[in-house]
Amino acid sequence: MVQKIQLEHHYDYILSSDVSEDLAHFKTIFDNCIDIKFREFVIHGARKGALVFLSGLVNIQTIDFEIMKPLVESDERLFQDSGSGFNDDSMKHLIENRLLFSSQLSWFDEFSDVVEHILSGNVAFLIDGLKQVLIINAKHWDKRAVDEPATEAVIRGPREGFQETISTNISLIRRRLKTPQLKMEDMIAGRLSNTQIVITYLDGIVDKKLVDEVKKRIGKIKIDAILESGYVEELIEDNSFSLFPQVLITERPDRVVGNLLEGKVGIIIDNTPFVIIVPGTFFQLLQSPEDYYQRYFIASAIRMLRFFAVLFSLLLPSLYIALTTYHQEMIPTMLLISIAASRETVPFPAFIEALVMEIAFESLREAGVRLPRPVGQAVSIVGGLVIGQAAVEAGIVSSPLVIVVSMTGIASFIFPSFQLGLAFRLLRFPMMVAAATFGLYGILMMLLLLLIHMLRLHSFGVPYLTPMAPLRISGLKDVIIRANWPKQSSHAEELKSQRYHNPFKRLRQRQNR
Amino acid sequence: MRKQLTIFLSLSVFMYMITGCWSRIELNDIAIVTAASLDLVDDQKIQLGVQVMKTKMTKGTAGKGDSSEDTTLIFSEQGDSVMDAYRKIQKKIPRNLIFSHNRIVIIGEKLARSGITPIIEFFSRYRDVRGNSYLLTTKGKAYDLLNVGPNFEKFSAEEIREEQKARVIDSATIRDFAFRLLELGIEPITSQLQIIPAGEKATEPSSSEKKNKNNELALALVGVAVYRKDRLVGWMNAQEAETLLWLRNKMKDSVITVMIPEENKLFGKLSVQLMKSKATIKSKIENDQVQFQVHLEMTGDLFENTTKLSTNSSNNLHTVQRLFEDEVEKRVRLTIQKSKKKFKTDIIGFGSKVHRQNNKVWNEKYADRWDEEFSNIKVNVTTKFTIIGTGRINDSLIWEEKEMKK
Repeated sequence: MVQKIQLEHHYDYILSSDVSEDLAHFKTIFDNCIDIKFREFVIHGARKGALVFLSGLVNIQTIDFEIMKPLVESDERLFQDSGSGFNDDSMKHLIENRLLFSSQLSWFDEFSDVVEHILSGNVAFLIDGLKQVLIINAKHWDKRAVDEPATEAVIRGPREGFQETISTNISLIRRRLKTPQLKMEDMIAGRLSNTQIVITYLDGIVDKKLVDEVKKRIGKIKIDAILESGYVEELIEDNSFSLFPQVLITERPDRVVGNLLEGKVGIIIDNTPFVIIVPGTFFQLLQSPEDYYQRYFIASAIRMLRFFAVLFSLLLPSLYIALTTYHQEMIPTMLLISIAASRETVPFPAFIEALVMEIAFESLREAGVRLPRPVGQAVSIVGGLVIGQAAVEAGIVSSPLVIVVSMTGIASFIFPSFQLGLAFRLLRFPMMVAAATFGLYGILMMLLLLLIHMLRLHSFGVPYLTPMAPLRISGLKDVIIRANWPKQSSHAEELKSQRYHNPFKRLRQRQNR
Repeated sequence: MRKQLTIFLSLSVFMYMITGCWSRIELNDIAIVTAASLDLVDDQKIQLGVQVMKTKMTKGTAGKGDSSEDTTLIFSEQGDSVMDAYRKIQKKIPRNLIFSHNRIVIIGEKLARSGITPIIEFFSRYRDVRGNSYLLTTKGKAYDLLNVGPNFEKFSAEEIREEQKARVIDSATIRDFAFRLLELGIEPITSQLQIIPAGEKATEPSSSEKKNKNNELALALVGVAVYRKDRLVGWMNAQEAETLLWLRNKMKDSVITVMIPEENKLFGKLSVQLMKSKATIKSKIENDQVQFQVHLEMTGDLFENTTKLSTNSSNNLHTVQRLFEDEVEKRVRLTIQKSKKKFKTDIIGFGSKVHRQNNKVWNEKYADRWDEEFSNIKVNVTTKFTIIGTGRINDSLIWEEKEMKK
């Protein structure tokens, strides 16, 4: 940031018609940049010209054979044809129409614009006598191939996932929606990174106010660099103090398109495969795109399973603590005797026991994520089998608790959204504290608190628990169950009806405060 | 808003801390009571016996507990009241007794004859105790029954509970007993539990033989104990107890056997399993005298037939059905007669029928003196028996097919 301020006066430079003067300025700006290349030449002996580009971001082949070659080799007659009245306009015309074989050409007057284009990988073509600079697109850099998304695998469904190049990502979406209604708007954020952000939506389906709000919030972003969509998410979400993710993050183009069809807005960010979809609601975070590809009976059953998983992963250890330390009468006698018998040798209170095991499990999981894949498997074997088995046999933890912890672990892997899973993983611990201090009463209180919080959450004007609260009966066709397609009305209509009269009223009030 | 919430939350949290009543208790610090016995001993003291799970012995499949050892421990203490005795036991053991998993409460004969209201009172008031523990009465000392080891389950009380749940004979939980005690025109009963030899060779047990608790002894439900108000007045045998179930529409699983007497050349025995049994008791007032019409409708499946009777013909089936109708009627009459004449206690609840069906008459005439009136009531019994199945074979394999001739 400091650097940029020092360079500020160079940006004020007004392009001259003299190539060498301009070049000198470029050289000052790109001082000590080894990847900047200046190539001066004479356009077939007629005029001086120069190319400025960053060597790592352009296709050298293109520059050599499609820009340099025609310019240097060009037939002398071309210039003679124009006669003595060879002026700037005819020069432009000549270059655009007779010399360069590039489809993406544009002229710029501003020095700062030209610098930006050079930085994003375009080639600047300076021509003696012309004040304007021609920008030629010859972008090319090494990129990952379109690959299967690692975080959102499906059994049935497209295997394409986004990757780090925004143009590829845009093409992946466009290929699925061949309509001019699909709009893509360009924005730049990040003072130093100048990251390209593309806002995409379906015109005619989306609520225009939502698009404006998204643009407004992105426009307000003040940060040096955006390295991942998480930066943007945190800066544009309604309540950044909440544990719950309020936007949908996905690696799958089909999921983005599905959401655009529901009237949502996608935010594609350069250099990351994770696309943000707003507004994000709780129940949507519990859905997988595969729900729509599988038969709807099966999809509905799986969805219900997920709701159980949510409850399990949040409540199972705390229920164990509450029931065994406060409400022994609620456990069936035979089960109680079994639990009591296996707890007989355990020296810790149930809470400590559960806490230790939960922390151990979370550590194992975290270790497994960070380690290289082959080692990660070893960790899970050592952790799961050896520690679990040994701890039970040593009488440090009871075997019912190991069952509880592993069931909780399995349940927390069912979450289709990793972000939401993380929230519930964390919430489990306060829940356990509540259970250890107040039993079921504590669990109930914590659940109520959680519910109050979730009810107060909004994502871009849409209540977080839509369509459960506020209740929209018609919206329920796609929440707990997935009704078959003929039964589902237009999703966009649904989303519109879910919104308040003025979704951003609350927001403005908050800002005015 | 946030401030208010914070205040509300901290208040609600601290409120529960200042009560000082923290019911948190680890599983390692509880002793699970599975059965309780109550006896009246000398000096009008109550002896409370509790059967407590020895949890470390029930490791289950891990096999760490020695299987030959007992899974339960028995403690007993005398006191002026149940609570007094309970506190005395509590002082003897290092763990907290919890009654919430108590299966059965056994009452000794002596205590039962002197009235068990104080017991019911305690078990209804003490909030740890469940109303659905079964109440049982035994001839002799109830404490001795706790010593009998289990044969199938982990502890003997569970076996009793399972037996009671099978509803082979009439039973009562503490809640049932209390309700029947309070209801007008019906007297309570409990099942009768006795120690019996499990096998043929087992000898009569003596109470001193506590250590010798192998599988030779078992607890069995042998009948019902009949109460008038809260006092034991007598016993009914298993068959009568079964009949009580029919009359109260609680029948679940019953077998009736009839015999064709030896004089008849078709002689043999027939057994049916009851599928359905519905009893209706109707009261009517005639000549200022209350009369009852008891009607039983039963359906059954023929399970055993050693007679020479072919079940192929519907004629024969009718005959058989009539035999069963007679048998059922006889048993119902006997049971009613016994409760009327021998115990003078309305355990079937004729009084409550009058109370419901002829409320006015009840209030005017019987409400205060049903006890006396009961032994004079007239009961008319009718039965209808239908056999709906005859099993996999038609005729008895033992005998040749022959028509029954009369």
